[in-house]
Amino acid sequence: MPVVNYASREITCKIVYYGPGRSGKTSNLQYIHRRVPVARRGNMMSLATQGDRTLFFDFLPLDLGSISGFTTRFQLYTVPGQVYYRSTRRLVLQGADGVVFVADSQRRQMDENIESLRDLHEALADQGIDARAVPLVLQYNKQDLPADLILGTPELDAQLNFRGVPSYPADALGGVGVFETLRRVSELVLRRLSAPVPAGR
Amino acid sequence: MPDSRFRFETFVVGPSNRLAVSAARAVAEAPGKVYNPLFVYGESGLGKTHLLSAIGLAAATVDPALTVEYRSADEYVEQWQAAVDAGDAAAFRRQWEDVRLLLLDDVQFLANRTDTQSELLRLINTLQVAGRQVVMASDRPPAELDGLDQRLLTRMSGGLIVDIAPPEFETRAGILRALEADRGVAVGEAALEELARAPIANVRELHGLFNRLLAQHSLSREAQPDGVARAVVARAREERAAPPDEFEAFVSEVAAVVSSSVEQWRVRLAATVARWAGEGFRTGLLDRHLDAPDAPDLDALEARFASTVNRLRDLEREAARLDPRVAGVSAFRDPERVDEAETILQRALAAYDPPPAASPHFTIENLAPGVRNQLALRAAGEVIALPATRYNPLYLHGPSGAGKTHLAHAIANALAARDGASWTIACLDCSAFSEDLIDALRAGALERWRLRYRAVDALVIDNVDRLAGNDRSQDEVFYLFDALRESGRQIVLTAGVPPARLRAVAPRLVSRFESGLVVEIGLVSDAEAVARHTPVPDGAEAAAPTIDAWFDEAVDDSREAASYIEPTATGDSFFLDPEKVITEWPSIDGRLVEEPR
Repeated sequence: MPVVNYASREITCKIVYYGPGRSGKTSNLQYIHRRVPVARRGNMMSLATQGDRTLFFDFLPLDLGSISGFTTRFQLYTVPGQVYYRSTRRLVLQGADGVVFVADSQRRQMDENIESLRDLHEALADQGIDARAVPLVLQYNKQDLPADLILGTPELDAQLNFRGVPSYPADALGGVGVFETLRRVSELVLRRLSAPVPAGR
Repeated sequence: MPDSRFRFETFVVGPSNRLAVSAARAVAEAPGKVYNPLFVYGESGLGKTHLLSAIGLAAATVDPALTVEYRSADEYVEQWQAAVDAGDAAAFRRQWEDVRLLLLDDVQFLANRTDTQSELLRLINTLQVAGRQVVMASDRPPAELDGLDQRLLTRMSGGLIVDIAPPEFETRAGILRALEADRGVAVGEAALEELARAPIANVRELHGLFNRLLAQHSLSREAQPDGVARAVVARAREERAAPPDEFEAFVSEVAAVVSSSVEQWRVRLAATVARWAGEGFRTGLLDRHLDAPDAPDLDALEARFASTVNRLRDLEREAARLDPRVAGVSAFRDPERVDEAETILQRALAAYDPPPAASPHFTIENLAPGVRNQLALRAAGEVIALPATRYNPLYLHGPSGAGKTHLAHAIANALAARDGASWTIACLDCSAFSEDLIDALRAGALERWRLRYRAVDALVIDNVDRLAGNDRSQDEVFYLFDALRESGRQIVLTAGVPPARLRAVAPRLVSRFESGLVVEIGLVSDAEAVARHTPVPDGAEAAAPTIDAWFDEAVDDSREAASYIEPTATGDSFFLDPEKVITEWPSIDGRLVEEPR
């Protein structure tokens, strides 16, 4: 659940960008970082290897200011996509209010997409979370590549979107679909504010 | 008339527009025969106008006698209004009814133009009935057009609806090649492909990029065209990626979702929490409701909380006046700890104006134990050892001079000194208690008076039979009694008679006095007074009961017998009349004459 502190009038949402290596998760955050007014963005923290692969995770805090009297903050994380960073992915995924699964639209990357999506569901299950209860949006990145290299949205939906969640074609480098994805996952997360509070909170 | 530049030959066909072009060709070849009307939609700059013109030009080529009219909806509206204003509506209609191929662009601009919509509806009906072709274009499908007459929408949807999507890579590359050929320049396939990867939303932007490429390349002839193209695309990405309001649009949307998702009662309660927290009060009572699934009665909750806060403020003000050290104690800031705050004030009051204490001269050790007071002494020992646990209240009764006052004060002194505890003990005669109350009433300080007595750890009132007829004092003793006993404080009372024989004392008090241990204390005989100086071996007294002990047993037996007799409704039972049944035998100490035999 998004953290809503009514007493201090704060809303904090954690959104995790999940997906296979080199699918464009960090590009999403970098694009958002560039678009956010300086006053509202925290420093984007990125622990990357020399090859520009995410080693641990990226973290981008966003201060959306006062919304309906609530100081609203978003925390955007990416997980390292490489297979061997499994434990780090689980760590970053903890407490996520919403997940963006960034798939690589290239045909030859489909197996990696499927493997990563399976890994996401396993990670959620390991944490005792019903994946169906977590707001999820799929982003089909690299749609700007030549058509013979990539799959279109209907084909990607057929292979990855078995839950019928919102999906967006994107070109994260150019910014196409980046905010659309963020807007949709944020909406799904925030809609849960009015959901009944689980016992024990 | 259609723009002569926009022909099918110059329209680059790709997956994104193939269906639209195919339908357009079919319509151009046989107007009115297929797809009537044809509705083409797509975002601006994707070639809708080009396609409409191409239909008109191609149809005119097939049948030069064909009357073709191309208009944007804006122009049609203007012309119709002008005709109406000039009184030429009929001529206008005739002119349009002669048209055999109507090409109407940007029909989204017909929104809310009721008159024009009606006229257009009539025209389309007329044309279709006459087998004339109608082709329309819009930036969105009919179903998404707002402000249009439903009948007109139905007509628009009655033929074929096709869309033109943004061009994909191949189409973009094709468009660029066509442009290259049209301009008579050669920038090379690599540069064109590079350009085709640019993030464009429509064909016009692609034309702009191509023009930019040519311009940049003309400035630096030695540069490779594909390198220039990469730079142009990078610039385009940068420009396109920087719509200034992208983040603000995101924030606006989040704001809309939050305002519709957060329940208003929680917002109001949160404001109340923030207010009281800001004033330094703990808000746990309110916080719990914030996390609850259902809305509480907000008005009542807020009123209760405010009232409790005011009570805490009063308590703190009074306590701080008596003892400045207690000001700011956390209990005065927590509405869940009002009891604790009251206790702090009571203690402050007790320390500031302590209730009457016991006379220090009376001690247990000074009391002569004997058969007539041994039970009372044993009960006193229990009370001192375990106050407020077994015998509460301890009610001592006996005749004047039996030592009740001595024992009561002795208990008070022992409790005060118990384990070195700094207990506050109120020990006073019932008359003094009543006088103190009257003084407090006169001074308007009743609340302080009550708090002072309620702060004590033990209350000892001597001669409670003096409450007789004093209703006001009885009321206060009643409330004080309950308050002390509920909070685990010891109460010791003395009287000349047992509770049941207290005269003019409210039954509710009598029953309370009887609820602990009622024990009699008798007069100590001279012999016993002397005997206390005579060592008696342990257990000797119990082993050889004195005449007093026999008396006691007899009295107990008679009381027990009396307890089995139900009092009559009038209450004048023979057996309950103390004048008729001797339950209290007079002491015969000193009056017994032994006859020497």
